[in-house]
Amino acid sequence: MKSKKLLVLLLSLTFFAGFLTACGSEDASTDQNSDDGQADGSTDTADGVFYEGETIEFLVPFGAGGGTDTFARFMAPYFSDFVEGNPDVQVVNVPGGGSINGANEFVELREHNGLNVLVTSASTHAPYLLGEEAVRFDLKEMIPVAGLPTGGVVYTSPSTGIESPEDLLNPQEDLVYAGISATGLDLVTLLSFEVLGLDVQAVLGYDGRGPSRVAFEQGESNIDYQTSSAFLTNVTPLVESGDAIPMYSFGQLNAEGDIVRDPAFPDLPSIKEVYVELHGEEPSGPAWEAYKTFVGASFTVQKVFWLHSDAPSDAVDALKQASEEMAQDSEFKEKGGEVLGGYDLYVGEEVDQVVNGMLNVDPEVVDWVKEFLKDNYGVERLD
Amino acid sequence: MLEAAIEALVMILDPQRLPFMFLGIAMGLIVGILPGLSGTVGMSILLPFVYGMDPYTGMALLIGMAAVLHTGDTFPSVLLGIPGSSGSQATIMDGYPLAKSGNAARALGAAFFSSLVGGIIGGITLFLAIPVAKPLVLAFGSPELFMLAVLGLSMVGVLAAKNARHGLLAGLLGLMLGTIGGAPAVSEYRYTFDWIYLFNGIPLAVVALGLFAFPEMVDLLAQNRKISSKTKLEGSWKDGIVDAIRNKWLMFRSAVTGSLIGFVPGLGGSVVDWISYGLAKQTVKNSDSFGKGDIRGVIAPESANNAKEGGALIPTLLFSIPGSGTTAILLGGLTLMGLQAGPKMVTTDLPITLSIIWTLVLANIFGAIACILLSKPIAKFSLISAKKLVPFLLVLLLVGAYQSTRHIGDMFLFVGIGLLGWIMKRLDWPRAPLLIGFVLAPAAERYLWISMSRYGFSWLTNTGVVIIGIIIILILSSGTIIKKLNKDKKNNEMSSIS
Repeated sequence: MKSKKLLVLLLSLTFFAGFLTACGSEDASTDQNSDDGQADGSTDTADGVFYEGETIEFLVPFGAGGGTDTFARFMAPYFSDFVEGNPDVQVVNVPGGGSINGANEFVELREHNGLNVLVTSASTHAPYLLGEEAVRFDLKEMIPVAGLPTGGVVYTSPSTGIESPEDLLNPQEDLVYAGISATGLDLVTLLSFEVLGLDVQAVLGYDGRGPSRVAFEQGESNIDYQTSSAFLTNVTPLVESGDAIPMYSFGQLNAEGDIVRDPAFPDLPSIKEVYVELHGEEPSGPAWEAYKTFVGASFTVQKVFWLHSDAPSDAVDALKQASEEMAQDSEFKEKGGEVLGGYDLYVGEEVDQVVNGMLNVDPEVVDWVKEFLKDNYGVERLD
Repeated sequence: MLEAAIEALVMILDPQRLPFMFLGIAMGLIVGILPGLSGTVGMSILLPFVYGMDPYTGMALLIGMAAVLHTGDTFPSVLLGIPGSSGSQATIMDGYPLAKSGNAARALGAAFFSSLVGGIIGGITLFLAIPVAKPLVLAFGSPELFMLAVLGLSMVGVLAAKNARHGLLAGLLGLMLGTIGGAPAVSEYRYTFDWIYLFNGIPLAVVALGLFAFPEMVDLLAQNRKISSKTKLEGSWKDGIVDAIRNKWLMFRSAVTGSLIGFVPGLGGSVVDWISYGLAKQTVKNSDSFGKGDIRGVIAPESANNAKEGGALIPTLLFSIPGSGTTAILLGGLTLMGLQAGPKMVTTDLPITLSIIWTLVLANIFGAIACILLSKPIAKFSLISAKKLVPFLLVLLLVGAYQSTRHIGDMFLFVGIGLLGWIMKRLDWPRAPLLIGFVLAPAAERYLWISMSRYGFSWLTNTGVVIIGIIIILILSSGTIIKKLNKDKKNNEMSSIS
């Protein structure tokens, strides 16, 4: 009978579907077991080398193709090369719940055996700091292995009549900002307006930073920000054609808890300098403290690789050492161009420092931010 | 530009790159044929392999996959009455009845040929759009985007013409389902019942499969029959191609509509097939046979859903605004290959953009040929009895649904929405309006919210808004007008005879 043949065909199709599922969820990013990454001439034998013959899983709490996913996939082969024992590295996407899902899963379901690594971004840090109800992970209970900063630049449209930061307080038309959500990265921008004392109407609900930039180009908004790499790619042409004027960078939080110029934009004043220019004194007060906290958590520490705090110390040492070597590698830096956005990796003591700074938050600041969100943007969920 | 285009073609045809395009095509066809797996799945599978490839090769792989997905997904839509991906539901409306009456091969032939033509037109649209893309994208502000969402929603009225009340209710239910999860503007979660699975809303694949595939499975089993009522397959794919050529104007029109809708960022390509189907139903003569196995009901959506890909790449490549899940992953792929979507894609990186267009065109041609060759053996699926077929399909469907988020919630909701779909099918309620409402709910809400908070009521008098409003009214009334004209004509003929 012919139907028998078809039955076989069906069976094989079903199996293929099963195979796809397996592939889809655990994309083998690398399969390299080459020798070129052998760190310090150590032998290939199994004793003492923690990751020999093992597979590390990078859990990315976002869907494939996003910024964090791209970053993790870019890093995977380098970890495979530089970690002693040359483990395979796989990227696993667990999207959902604005990355809370995946981070919860990392803590609750993944074995704390040093083979599981969580990759977080600002979207994971903010709900943790704000104490979202769904958060069941504690970043203080994890060990940062490596991190990456990014920055942001605020720019205005010539239609506002603003030509330099000193005009910010006296625009010729009402300032309108197109944003995504008050509790996301936009929080930093909104806090920066609050710090500077700008009167800006925030229209929220856009589908992403791309659409909000298009809204700026259309004239639907006239003050906007983009993160460093997006600014360089998509806003620089606007600046050159005279359709956008850069105002200030968000700056970076240094080890002393102070805002300094963004190394990616050395010629652009940071928000702190603009404040001094506008108000003649150093910024202070709860809004400034809140701003610094969230710049730290959203930009200065934009992405972090984490291990469980009770992961084997051999694993922690191996990954930390590998990332330190990686950060020095010239090929890594060269190929990292777009992905790294012109910043250096945080490794070693530095990553501990910046992460500590990010997590060491005054509860009063958090309460102030919750009030700020409630009063200005109707966010009542966080109470 | 022409010289650069030829150069890009040579790049694509490089014997070291060509195999990757064919690999992409094979992948796209398989993902399309397997019900429920969408372009997002295909992209996520291919993405890791792109790392380290040169951009021409990597893009050939990814675009080859995306281009033919909507060619391959016609198989399950026509043969089994279940959506092969979220872009091919409208094909079911007439393709499945055709298969039931033994005309599967003809429906497939017409569908593949329309896909081929649609895909090529989509590629050409992308090419032509390069110089004018910027003003075009900038012409759509939030108020215009809201009106386009309303245009999509107006298809609810068209598709439920016979039973307007039921259609409207189903559409409203879809809108409500679409509000589940995080609100677009205020960071509040709605109807999530503290279940974190629902924070991102219900996945589209789960709704589409539940609504259309699950009820079909239940009924097939209950009646234990074969899909085709006849024991022999009639007609061949050649008849289908002849049908498609006979309706060349419809095919062309649908392709243009498809690429235009695909091009509008933020609307999502998932309703292209429905809009194209609805437009066809409203504007062709003698549309009474739509839904009962009219070949034109296959041609319109199939031509449109392939053309959409070309359109959707315009905002993706030039503005780095992804129009769909597939293009969102494509953006990640670009970054992995050291490129950044943006204005540079039409200046310094123009060769890459041109190679993408060539890949679109070539992949559509090869994909359609492959499908036509495959159609004869695969069409025999409709001759298998339900008892043997359904268990396999259910496994495939559950895998497809589970691919959405890989959370157990996918399974629960698939069955839950499946039961809803089955009840609706039994009561003869139209299901397409529910799906359209569901897909367009976020866009409609988002852009209405932004328009109101940005402009108050003044956006209502924008030129673009008024134009789209008039188009909506024209579409809604055209069906009745055309019917009336036909009737008058008939009456005249009658009276002249008597």
